[in-house]
Amino acid sequence: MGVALRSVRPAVLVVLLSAAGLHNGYGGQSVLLAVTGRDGQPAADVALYLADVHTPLAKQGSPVVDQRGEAFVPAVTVVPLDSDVEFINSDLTSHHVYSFSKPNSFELPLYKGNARLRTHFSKPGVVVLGCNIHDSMLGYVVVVDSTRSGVTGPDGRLTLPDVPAGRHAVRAWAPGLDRVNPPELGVVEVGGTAPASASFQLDVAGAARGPQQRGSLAGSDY
Amino acid sequence: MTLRALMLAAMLGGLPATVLGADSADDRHVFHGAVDVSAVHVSTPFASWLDEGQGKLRFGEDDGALQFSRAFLEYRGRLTSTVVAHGVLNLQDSKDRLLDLTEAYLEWRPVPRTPWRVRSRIGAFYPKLSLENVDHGWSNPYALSSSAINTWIGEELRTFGAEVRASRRFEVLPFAPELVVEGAMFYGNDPTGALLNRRGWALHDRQTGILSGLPLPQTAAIEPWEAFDKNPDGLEPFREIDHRPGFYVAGEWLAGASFRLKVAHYDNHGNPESLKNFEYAWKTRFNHIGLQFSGPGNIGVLAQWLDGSTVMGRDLGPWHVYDSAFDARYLLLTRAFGRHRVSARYDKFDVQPTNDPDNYTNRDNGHAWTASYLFDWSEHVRLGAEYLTVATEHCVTNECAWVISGLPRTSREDQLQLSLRWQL
Repeated sequence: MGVALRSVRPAVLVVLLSAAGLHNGYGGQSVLLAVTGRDGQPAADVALYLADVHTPLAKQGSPVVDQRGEAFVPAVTVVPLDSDVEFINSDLTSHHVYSFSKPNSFELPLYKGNARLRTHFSKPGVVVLGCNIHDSMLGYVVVVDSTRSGVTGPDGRLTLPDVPAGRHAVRAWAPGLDRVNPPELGVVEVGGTAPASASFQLDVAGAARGPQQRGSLAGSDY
Repeated sequence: MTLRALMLAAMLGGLPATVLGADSADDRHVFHGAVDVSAVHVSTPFASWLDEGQGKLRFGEDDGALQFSRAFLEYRGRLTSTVVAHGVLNLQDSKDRLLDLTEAYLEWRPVPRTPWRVRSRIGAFYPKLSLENVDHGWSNPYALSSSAINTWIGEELRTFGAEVRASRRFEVLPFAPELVVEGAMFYGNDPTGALLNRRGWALHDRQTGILSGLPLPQTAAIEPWEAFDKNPDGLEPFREIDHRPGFYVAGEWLAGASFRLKVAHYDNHGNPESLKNFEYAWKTRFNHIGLQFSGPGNIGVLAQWLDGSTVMGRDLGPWHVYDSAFDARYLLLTRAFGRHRVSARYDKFDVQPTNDPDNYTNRDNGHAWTASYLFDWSEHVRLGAEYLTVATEHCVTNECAWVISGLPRTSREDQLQLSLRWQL
């Protein structure tokens, strides 16, 4: 995976200071991270996390991976270690979600009428999702040893709440990057009362960004 | 269109509606089906090959303007979480069997434990070669008539055996491409090639049922001087004659939702000297390349090429009694505009005898243009219109047997078809 590691360019770190601090109950600050791809356009579906932050966040609901239009929505989900992920099926057809990614392999028969099941991820790593009924479906759950993580939106941005002061390494994973040691993008510095933000450029290997179109070609029954 | 066919079509339509109504909360058992009727205008010097003539189209000038094309009912049943049953019941005009299965097989889909995904089929099924016939019941969602290649696959090709397919995805590469390798061994399919040799290529939407027979033209397109033998007036393409299994192997490269490149080698491994119940086995082999992608302007592009040979009868040294080479290719462009679809296709095809002097031998060398318009009027009704024209050179000179039999050296067949499909 050396190639994938080299594909990450040196980070461009931009820290913006503002007079209006965004404090919350835990004393940390919000951090805005922005990622662009090699073409300079916003990179969606990039999992980002601060590897050295383990302080707990306020209790949140389980992340949900939906199956809609025979696709995993979102395509990339990032969760902290020891999380439950809920898989739901919004389609009118059955799905059968599985992963062969060790040590987080699992299978969930999400048949029509049995559309809500959850599974627990207790080991870090990238979990590749597939559907045993629809072979073209592909998705990812990224399990990280960090309590500050998220996935960039269509604008390539992600806000992490309640980040403790200090310098934090930002690691990133997207399809095509090293699954065992997701590369470090750079550092974000959080201090004082100001919200922090940083932008990075990621040389992702052109993997799926949003749903791929089949254009005018008919869907295959096979 | 007989009364019997109409009644069976009504049953095919009514049965799944009943089943679906009873069990709509579950999709353990899924049915799809359709009924196709057409208004056809044909201009051709020949009777249709289905009437034992030389015509390449499904209908001839003598056929009525209103035609019942096909009704089918496809069933998919999840028997266990990894075993799926498939069957397609087909109803169409036929001299011997109105109602027949075109496919019936079990598919085993184990949940992958490694990056390699394995799928296996056992039973009677189409090899996955056609890029056109990807809709339910092996229907063609692009045109009313299929290309020469896929028409022939529908007529004379079926796997009666087992197929294993293994695939893995390379997520680190752009568009997370997938490599597929597959192989199959099968019995049956020994007479495959006989229709191609005796009639040449054709373009239509008819599929042969797994127990059904096909008529053969009385003047053979290739090797006509064998007429001193009693010509068989039909064949059963899926019979087992020589008790030797055939095989095919294929590799496929998929990328994104649209790109597909497939190469395949097929060999029915027939023993050309083997004879059973007056029917010979034909040794038929071919190589195949198929390419599909979404091109600029949102235009879908499909192309297939097939090149092979078929032989039958005694080995005379340099060749067999019947010995011919065939090839065909097509390029199809398609563009969807919401519920409308427009497609254009160019076909080129050839069957050449390999054992006789050119000037005296029939051949089947031609091309076809197809323009098709399909409109999904509602969820259950599809309207279609298609113009198809086929030009064929049957022999090089006027001394060939085809002409001596009173047939034109070259021919042109035109067909205008309006179609109404009711689908589940």
